[in-house]
Amino acid sequence: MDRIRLNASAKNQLATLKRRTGIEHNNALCRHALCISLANPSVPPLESFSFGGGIEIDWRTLTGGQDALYLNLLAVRILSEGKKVSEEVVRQTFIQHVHRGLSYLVSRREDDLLVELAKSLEAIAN
Amino acid sequence: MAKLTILSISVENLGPFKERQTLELRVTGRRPVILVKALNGSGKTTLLTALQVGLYGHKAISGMKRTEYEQLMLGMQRKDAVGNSSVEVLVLVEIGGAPRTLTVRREWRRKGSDLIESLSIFEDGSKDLIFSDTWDEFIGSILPAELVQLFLFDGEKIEALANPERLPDLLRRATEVFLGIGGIEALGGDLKALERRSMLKNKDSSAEFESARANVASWEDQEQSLANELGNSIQAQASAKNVVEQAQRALSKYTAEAQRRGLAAYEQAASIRHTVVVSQKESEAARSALAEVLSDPVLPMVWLPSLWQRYIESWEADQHSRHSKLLAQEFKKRDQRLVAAMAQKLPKNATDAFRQALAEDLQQFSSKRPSNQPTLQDAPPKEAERQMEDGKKRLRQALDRLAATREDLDRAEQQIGQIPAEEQIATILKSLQERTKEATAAEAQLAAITTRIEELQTNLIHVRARLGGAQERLTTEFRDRSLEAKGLEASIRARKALLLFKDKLLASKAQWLSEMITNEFRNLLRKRNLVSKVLVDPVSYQVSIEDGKGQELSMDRLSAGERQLLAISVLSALIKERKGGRFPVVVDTPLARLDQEHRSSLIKRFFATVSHQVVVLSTDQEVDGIAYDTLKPYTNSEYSLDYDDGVGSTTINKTTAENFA
Repeated sequence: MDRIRLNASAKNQLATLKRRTGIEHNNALCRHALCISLANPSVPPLESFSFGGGIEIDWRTLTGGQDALYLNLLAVRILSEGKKVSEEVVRQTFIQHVHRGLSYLVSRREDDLLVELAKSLEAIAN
Repeated sequence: MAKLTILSISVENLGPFKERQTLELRVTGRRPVILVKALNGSGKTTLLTALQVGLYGHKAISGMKRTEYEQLMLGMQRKDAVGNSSVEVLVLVEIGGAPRTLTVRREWRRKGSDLIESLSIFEDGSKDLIFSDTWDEFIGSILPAELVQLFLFDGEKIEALANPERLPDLLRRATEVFLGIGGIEALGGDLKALERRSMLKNKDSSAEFESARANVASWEDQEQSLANELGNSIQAQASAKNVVEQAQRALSKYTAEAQRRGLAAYEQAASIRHTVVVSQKESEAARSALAEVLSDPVLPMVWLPSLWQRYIESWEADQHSRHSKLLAQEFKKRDQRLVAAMAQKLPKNATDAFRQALAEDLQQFSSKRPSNQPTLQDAPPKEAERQMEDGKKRLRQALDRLAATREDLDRAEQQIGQIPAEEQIATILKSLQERTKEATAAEAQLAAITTRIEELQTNLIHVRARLGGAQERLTTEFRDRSLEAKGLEASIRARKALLLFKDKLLASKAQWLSEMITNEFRNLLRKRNLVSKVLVDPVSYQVSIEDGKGQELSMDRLSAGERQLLAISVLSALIKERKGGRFPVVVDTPLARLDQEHRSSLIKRFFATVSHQVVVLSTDQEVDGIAYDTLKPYTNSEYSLDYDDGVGSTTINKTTAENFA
């Protein structure tokens, strides 16, 4: 796990989200997308992504120095689904969840997405 | 009450007198008459003239001009004489009981064709210079020069006085002098002169006076107009103040209105906009901070609380299996150490059994470990949770901050929303400007009026000062002018009054005069029944005679002698009436036309009584016989003037009564 690739629609979504939230870095947006998707216990549909016109993100950058934690989380999720943990599975799971999460985020209609995200996060925390 | 007596008269180089001749004229009270007899041409008239001229100078001969007088004196000077002509009169003057003896000397010397007269007064043998200057006045106070002819008169001229045309005039003048009416006349004349003088002076000063008057008038006009303007300006100021107040009221009212209508907001728009910008920036910053918080790598874990729970459990299990594995390894090593130690002390079979038991136990222990657990990487949830908590806190703060800035921004934007559009505000601004302009204009107007008022007041003070000065000048410099104006009026009034007074006085005197004259005339006249009354008309002083039957006789009806007598009675009446000062009477040939009877009555009634000193100058024929005898008791001394044909001059000689016997 050193480089992660995302497809073109994810790239577009990221651009949109950047504009709507004011969060400048793709990695931060991707982290939230991943976690929001992981919070949903349903398994994302298995789709084969074509990464043409997409983007590449460095794994370490993406995890913001918390790669172990994210890997552990993915592993726990994979295990909870009764799958075997392997690097390929982890990558696959990660990519699916990120894409699904980005779609979730983009589909939110609030005017101020940043504040809404923060408030949702708060609500869950308390 | 002055009394003048002539003690002597000396004449030199005058008429028939060549060498100095002296006539002594002292008299005693009882015998007042000095008789001087002379033939015609021997100097009687010269003596009379010398007396008149000696005392009075040119004033003695009334109605004569100075040049005529000089001609007269020149004519009297002798061609054959050397030295000057002179007349010296020694007089005794008694005023207030202190008798003074004075010598009055007049000298005439030729200088080419001119005649220089000099007068000197001697008292106690020394010349009195001051008296010489004031002599005319002095002698005039004793007997006015106008009356000299009445006291020192020429009998031949009396006939002329008896002329009915001339008599009234003489009478009137004499009366006037006697009554001191001359004073009134003089006063009137002085007043007239004063009037004339002031007229003349006014001619000179009137231009100046008029200009001063005009000056005052112009200042007065200026003051008036300034005062008017000041009054108007003060009114204008009051109304301007009202206008200003109204304008200011309107302005402040409108300003309030305009503020209500967003003007203040408009005026504050810039700051509001600035606030908005600041708030926006704040808000942006808060958002960025929030974004920053959300970019925390651990914070997203908050999204998945159930998975996180599972992770904690997995982590615990993983840790546990790790520890068990380590323990088993340690147990194994210990078992091996224990088995090795037991093999030396115990039998083999016991050692094998022990090894067996240990191996089973380890087996037992190891079997409890979960198998095929993928080992988790080193990321303890505790640490992550700490970071999460921190992230949550920061999230809270960032949210709060953002909310606050949002509120600020909202408020600012609300205010921005209240800022009216420029075109909306334009009309307000315009009318506000207009009202401000109005207020300013009104204030300027008021200020101008106020300034003008101050100017006017200053001017007015100045003009009043100038006016006061001009008036002051008019009253001081032209006080005499205004006094003169008053004086002129007063003088005119006074002259009227004087005239009236004089006429009344004369009229009242006329009555009395007629009585006096009647008295004297009847004393002198033989035909007593001819005349019952001499009337003097109070206005014209025409003398008329009433006979016994009450018929009026005109003077023409009288004979020449009678007329002479009438004239003498008039003189007598006048002389006796003269109370101002007693004066000698000199008569020159008074008896020429009179008959014997009339002569003696004249002597008795006139010569003897008319004065304290009577000098009678007569021809050898006039005082003779009966007349002489009649005069004798009254005569003090007698002289004769003897003319010597050979020498061509007269000498004066005292004669005794025997010579006349």
